[in-house]
Amino acid sequence: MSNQSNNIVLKHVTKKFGKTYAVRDLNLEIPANSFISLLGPSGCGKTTTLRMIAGLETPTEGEIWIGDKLVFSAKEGIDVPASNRGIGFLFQNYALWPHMTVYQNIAFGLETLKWKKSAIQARVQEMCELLQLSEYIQRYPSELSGGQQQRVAIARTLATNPSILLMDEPLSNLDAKLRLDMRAELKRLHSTTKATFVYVTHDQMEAMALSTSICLMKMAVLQQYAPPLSLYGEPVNKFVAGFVGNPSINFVDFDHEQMQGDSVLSREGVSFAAKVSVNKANGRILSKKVCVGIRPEDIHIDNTSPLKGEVISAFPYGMETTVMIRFLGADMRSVVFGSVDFTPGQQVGVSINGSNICFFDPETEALEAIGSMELRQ
Amino acid sequence: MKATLRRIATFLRKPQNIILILLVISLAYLVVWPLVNIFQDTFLVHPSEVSRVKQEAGTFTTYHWTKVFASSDSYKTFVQPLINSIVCATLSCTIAILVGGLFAYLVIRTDMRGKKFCSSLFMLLYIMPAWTLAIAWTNFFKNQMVGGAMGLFEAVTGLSTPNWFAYGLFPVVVVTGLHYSPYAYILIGGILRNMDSNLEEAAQILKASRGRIFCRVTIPLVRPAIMSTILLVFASGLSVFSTAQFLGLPVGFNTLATKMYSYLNGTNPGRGYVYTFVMLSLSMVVLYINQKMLGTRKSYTTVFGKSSNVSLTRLRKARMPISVLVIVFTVCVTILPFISFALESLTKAKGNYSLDNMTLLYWIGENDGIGHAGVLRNMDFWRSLKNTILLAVCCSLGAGTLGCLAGYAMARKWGTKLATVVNGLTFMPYLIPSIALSAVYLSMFSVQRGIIPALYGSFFLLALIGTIKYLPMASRSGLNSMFQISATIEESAQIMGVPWYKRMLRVLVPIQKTSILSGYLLPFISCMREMELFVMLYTPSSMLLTTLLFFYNQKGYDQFANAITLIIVIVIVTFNALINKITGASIDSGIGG
Repeated sequence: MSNQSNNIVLKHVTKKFGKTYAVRDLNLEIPANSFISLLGPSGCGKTTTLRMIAGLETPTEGEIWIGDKLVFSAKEGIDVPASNRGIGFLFQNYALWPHMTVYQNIAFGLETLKWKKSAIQARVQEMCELLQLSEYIQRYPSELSGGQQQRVAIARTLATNPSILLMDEPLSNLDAKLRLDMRAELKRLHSTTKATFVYVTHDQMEAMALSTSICLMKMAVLQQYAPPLSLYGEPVNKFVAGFVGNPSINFVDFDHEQMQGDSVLSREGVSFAAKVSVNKANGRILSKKVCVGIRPEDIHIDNTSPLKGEVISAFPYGMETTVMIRFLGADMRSVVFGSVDFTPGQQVGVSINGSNICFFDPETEALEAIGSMELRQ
Repeated sequence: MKATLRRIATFLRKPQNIILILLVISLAYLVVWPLVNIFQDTFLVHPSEVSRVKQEAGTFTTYHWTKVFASSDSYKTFVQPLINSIVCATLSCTIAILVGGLFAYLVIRTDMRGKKFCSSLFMLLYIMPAWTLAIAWTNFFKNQMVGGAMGLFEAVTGLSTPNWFAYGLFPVVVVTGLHYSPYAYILIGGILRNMDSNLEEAAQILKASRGRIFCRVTIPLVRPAIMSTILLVFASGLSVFSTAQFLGLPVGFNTLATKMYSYLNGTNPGRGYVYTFVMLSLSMVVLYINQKMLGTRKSYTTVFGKSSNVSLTRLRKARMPISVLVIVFTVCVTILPFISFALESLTKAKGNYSLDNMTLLYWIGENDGIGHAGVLRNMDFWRSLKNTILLAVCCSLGAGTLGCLAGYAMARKWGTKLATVVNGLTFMPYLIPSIALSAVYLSMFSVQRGIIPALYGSFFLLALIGTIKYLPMASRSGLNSMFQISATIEESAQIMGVPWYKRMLRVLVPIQKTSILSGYLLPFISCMREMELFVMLYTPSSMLLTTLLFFYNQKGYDQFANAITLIIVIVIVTFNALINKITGASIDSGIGG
């Protein structure tokens, strides 16, 4: 199948269930051959968005284009049925038919397309080899493990060669180890099939690791649509900053005033000079108070620093240690790389450096600027 | 030796073990032994058969078996009724599944109007005993050729119904099928309602057409529900008695059950027991086949998922016509019978439905000319009502208590051999057709055996058989309720030294009171509507409402029969509604017959 026309465009798409909005005025352009994640807490509208693209849910308003074909338009009354949108769909609970064997499950779509029997057989074999299912071909779904069922579901979806693959939290029912393996598998499939992948997840790590771009949603509204690292480095608001990253970002409120052209931030009698990168966001801090977002990796334990803190707790993971430190009257997470441990109550020196410190307006929670902060003596 | 004794003592210290052992012993005597006994009975000469067999009573004979299988009238008296039973079972199944399945599809998957009204009214069909529908059928479609007077249909249209339509196989099949169609509706509807819609959507995305999805995905998934409907309806169809008696007798249409009844009630009981044995064997075969078919590798546990808003099929132009048709049909099979009972009981001369022929004579009259006072002034009626209620109370206390204890003991010992045996034993009466079970008890308790006196005709025997018959219902609900309570809840009381009866009364029963209550109420209401189980065991002193109705019907006292039917149906529907309101349990959610 051609991969020419597998981009997806959503224009002003809204979906209401009764009076509540599931998705509100969503505009999204998904380029061909990309791997997009729809990310957000549960109930944010990501699954509804996916189902609207598939044609399983009817939007209340808006337009959806797949390739150069208008598949849904509320205004023009167009609603192409799911079967004619040329997509594959992977369900969260796999939705394997319990009364059919692995072979029958995979062959079903091909039979519907009236493939020749020999061609079906060859294709099913091929899919089973690709997903390492050959030994289980005559089994029923109930006789397979979760991971195997998952692979059958993928095989069934890929068998008909869809140029767009929509996935609704396909890994959420797997155990941690299997989930990592399947992540690698999905990335490999994406590069071999050259299809457009749209992937729904609530796991920010998964979204970061897999996608070319992430569409982060909250309460029916799109928050930010950007590649994973820009989402991490330049979040548009406090919600985005807090949602991505593990351990999560620290938020601390500071008083702000302009002093001789410098932005000075102070808290608990300690003050910092904020340096903002002019080309990021507004590039200026305007508000009287400012909420500063500091990533754990930007808080360093540095015993030469005049700023002192107290270790509250430490979680050594081997490769790195997450330390909770109390300083400036707040508990903050810090990551120390290497095999080190700390004792609760221990006094340590702390420094903040890094060029991706985020400054948010505490009222609107929007990002005002990005930059660094230095301790003023 | 001492160690063994000590082990036995430890074993018996646990009340659940004692309960299980007592249950095994008593059920072996009350359920398994009668089956052996009846087999033995088929080879004995009974007192009434002495002149026929020309042997002394109590001696061994193969007379009954040869009479049934290898005599000149075998075809007429055995093969034909057997064929009738099987045909009746098969066709009733088909009707039940088609009507119930279609109804379920329309109510759950389409935008038909009046869904709520239809589905609650439709359940009435199952709540009312099957024979009420049979009586209603006669009221409407009887003809003057066989029925003596004309029915409502002829009175309204002037058309005389042909015999095949009014009596025999056709109406028996229709009535039985309709009676069980709500059962099919509940089972199939339950799956349709809860089925993971993703299973159908997955097929839709793979470009399968609507028809293909329906045949290849929906129907196979509903199959287990269809199978259990088939099991119940087929087994009940094989042993259909009261319906066949009411609708078949006038034209000599016999089933295994009616034939058995006539032999047992006549002078050749040994031959009747052969029929009982055949019916029991058939039920076992049906059960075996069902077990075989369900025990395959396809597990349906994955069927249920989060059922996200299933889109309703739009009937478009057909919406109004279909809705009207379904509503009319539902009203016809549920409300009209009530009207016919009332009307029939008010006619002075049968078959004349004009206003000046209406009378309250059969309700409140002093004397109807044949020596019977109107139903409400009739001592027989009041005594039967009293007996019925008393019996229902006894059976519900018996079955409910036993079921609750059995459920408790089984849940505590789940997985052990003993519990498995008791589980099987408590379920067995469900598989034995009512009429066959009563034949079994007739054979077993008609004479004194050891210390057990002859119980035939006693109220106690009716209570005993009712308790046994409804035990499956009660023990299933007892088991479910006890399974929901974690053993730790009881153990925490046990550690404090609370004795067993107090743990039951103060901890377990209060927690599960509604579901335990339903274990008592379902037998109660089932007993109130039961006819087939008691029809061979009652005597004038233990007359019940249903057997009184049977008696009047056999005598041709149609007005009385209809008046009593109306009373029974109203009582059952009222009780069912009350119970449903109070506990949430209902006859149509239990495994009633």
